[in-house]
Amino acid sequence: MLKDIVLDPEGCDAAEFIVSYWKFDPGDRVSEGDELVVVESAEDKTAVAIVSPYSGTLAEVAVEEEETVRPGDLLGRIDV
Amino acid sequence: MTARSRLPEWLVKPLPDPARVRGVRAAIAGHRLNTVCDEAKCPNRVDCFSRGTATFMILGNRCTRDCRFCAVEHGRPLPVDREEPGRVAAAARSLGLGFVVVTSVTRDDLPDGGADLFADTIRAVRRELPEAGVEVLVPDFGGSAAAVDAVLAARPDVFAHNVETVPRLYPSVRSGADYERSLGVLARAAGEGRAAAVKSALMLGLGEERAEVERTLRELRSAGVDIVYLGQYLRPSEQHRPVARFVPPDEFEELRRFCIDEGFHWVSAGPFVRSSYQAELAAAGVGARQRGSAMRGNGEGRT
Repeated sequence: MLKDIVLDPEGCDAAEFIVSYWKFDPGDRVSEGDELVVVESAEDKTAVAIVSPYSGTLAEVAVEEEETVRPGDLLGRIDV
Repeated sequence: MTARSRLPEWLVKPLPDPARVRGVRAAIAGHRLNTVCDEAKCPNRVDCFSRGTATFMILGNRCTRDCRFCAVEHGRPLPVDREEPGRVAAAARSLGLGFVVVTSVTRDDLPDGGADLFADTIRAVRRELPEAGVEVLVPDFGGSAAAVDAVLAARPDVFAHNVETVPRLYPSVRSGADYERSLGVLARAAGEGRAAAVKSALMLGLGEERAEVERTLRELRSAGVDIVYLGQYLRPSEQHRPVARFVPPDEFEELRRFCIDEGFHWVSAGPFVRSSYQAELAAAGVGARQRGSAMRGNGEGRT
């Protein structure tokens, strides 16, 4: 079953982030608690790592490095 | 897989659990308060909110100074709100805080610089939460000894005033401030009959030299400062002063040891250290709740 990984609006304050880098490639096994992707705020002072809430396989990367994401946006999907 | 980031790896932190963040934001908004966490775009704010803490910012959200490092709004200040101390105390109670940190914008427009409202806030928190520790992070009050004394008379556990940077950079970083004046504020608080632990903080990465940092730290210690915090300057926006250098964690560790050797009772040094971050640990480390007793710092503090 595919589970969405979303940039949680409650956990981040900036309106916009740039995807810095993914720590996994599609098809990689990931565990709950692994840092999946690092995003940086263009307007703020933060770089945050998005932690996986699930264990499974990284099925889809929805945003590539250097792309802009906003709170609430889909980052990827994990097949659990 | 590539590994590229505009910020170095040691400045990346995990996104915390959002559940408690909501509660803190609701308490702050519900009591119509400001936090320096939000106003200064602190990189730790979501961490702190997720632990149920925040640093209250009194005297409005507009500062009469316009420092090149700071994201707090500059402009014509708002009238003093005499009800604000009560709301801070009520918010602290609703958050269940055991240690309350209060700071402010600089209010050069007020005769006492806002010292009286600081004192009222300390007393309000004491009434509402008698067991809680209280730290105040104050502006320089234009160097007024009477203003410093008015704050100290309310018996905060920790009296903090940040020198922020080395004296050479004051004209370009803190143009409205004066290094000697700030040292004087700290020395006054640390003087005869002191009731509070005295704390200061420096940002690194603004263009300072190591020797200047060490000299400044020695001067802080000579002024009677007990607790010192060292952190990385991060630029709040493109309009602010650029970061001159990202100081690696091992340099912070070297400086932490330097500070301990110089005799500080508590040192917090690291890329994410901000002057109010985990302030309760430093206060506990120097025995600040035991007012009037001897300091008993272990000198090993860091975050």
